Amino acid sequence: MKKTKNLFFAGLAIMALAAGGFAYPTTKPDKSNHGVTLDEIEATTACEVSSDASKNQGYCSSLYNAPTDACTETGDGGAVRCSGNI
Amino acid sequence: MSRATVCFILALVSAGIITLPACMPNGKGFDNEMSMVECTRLALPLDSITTQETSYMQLVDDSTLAFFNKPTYDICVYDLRDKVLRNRISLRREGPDAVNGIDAFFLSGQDSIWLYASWGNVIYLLDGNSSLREKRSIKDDVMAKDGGTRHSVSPYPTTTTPYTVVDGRHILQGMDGIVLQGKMPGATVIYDWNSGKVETANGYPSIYGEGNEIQNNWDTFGYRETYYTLNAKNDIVTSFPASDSIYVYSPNSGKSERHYAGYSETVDIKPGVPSDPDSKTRKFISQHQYSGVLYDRFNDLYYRIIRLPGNADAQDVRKEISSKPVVVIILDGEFNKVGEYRLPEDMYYTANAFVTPDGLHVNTVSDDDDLMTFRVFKPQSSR
Repeated sequence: MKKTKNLFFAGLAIMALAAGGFAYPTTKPDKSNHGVTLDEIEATTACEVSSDASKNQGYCSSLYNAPTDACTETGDGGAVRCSGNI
Repeated sequence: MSRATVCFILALVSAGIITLPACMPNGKGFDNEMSMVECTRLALPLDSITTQETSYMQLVDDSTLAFFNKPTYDICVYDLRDKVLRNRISLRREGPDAVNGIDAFFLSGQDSIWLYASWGNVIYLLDGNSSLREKRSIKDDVMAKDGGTRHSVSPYPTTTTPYTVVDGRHILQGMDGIVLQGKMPGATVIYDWNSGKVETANGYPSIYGEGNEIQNNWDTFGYRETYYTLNAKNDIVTSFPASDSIYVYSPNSGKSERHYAGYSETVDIKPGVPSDPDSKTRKFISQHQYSGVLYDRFNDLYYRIIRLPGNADAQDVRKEISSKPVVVIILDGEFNKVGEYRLPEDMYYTANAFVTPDGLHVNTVSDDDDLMTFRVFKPQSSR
């Protein structure tokens, strides 16, 4: 009986591991430092639209359903300014 | 067959039955005529200078996808059938052909590359060699400085709020503009390139309250950024993220219609924007949000995406945002609701979605940064 139980739980464990691995991707390596300059990296982070800070204006907002942030013309009650205006 | 073997088989069958519902059409609380089924996955291989993280894609034709690669400031053009990079259109940052601050593009031919920069509301036209042919600012037009006879709009194109050019008319959509006076702000700008005339449309529905309070009360990309799709008649079908209805605007007739397209369960969308960024994000995670709407011309259906509440207490809020459950509300060609389908659990960028003959493609977060991945769903009858 003990062997049967072990087999049962082994089967469930395999299924659970398969389902878990499918549903929860692990952290990916950061690729942003391949083949681009430091200025370009800076320009794509922290809501900057340009490596020239004087060109960054407006409000920094997360797109939520896409992987980037953006400087927008109008903000909201909780919006912070883009770096050029700080 | 030994008893142990029988028990083992039974265990596997039981586990299969337990996990089976995740693979089946799901329409909880709603009498589905239509549902969806996952048919395949798409993985595009990326080279070392191309990132999977983009906020702008264009389905150029049924088998060609173009997307913006911000780190190298170029547009990658992929063949979806062969899964290969066919072309890389470089945009210039300096010199006479410089085009800075680009957020969106529309490839309308080998020699016509339209670009849009949200900051400054500038439209650029490049030729096939990325040489600048023309540049126009439409800032004064979209701000409605004419005393409030037009809606004030602040266009911000994304994949599901596309920059589109149809018969010389440039369609730009996004969020409410700077409210000065008069008319309720709107979401849509239609710019006629030949005449230089601008039309605005899609004033915000009443759920958003007073026009001059919208920006204080509603999160920028959570609820003010709007989504749209064009149908077979080139009507603009808009999804306002706080509204359970969709709005259909015909540029030809100037008429607008409203159709119910809400989720079948109780929807929690409340105004208010906490002042600190962390609380603001957690509030967004805790609520529903109507997101993109996409027209499936192959099946004459509309798919309206809704993000359901996630775990607002999660430690990693960025991860939790993309983990918010996703439901697709299915409408027929007459805007009747015919079904709902809950996507399998995953991390989705639902703003990056499009429809090909293979089905509805939704961008997912890839474990492997050398791949851009999509899960693909096809409609099917539930009966």
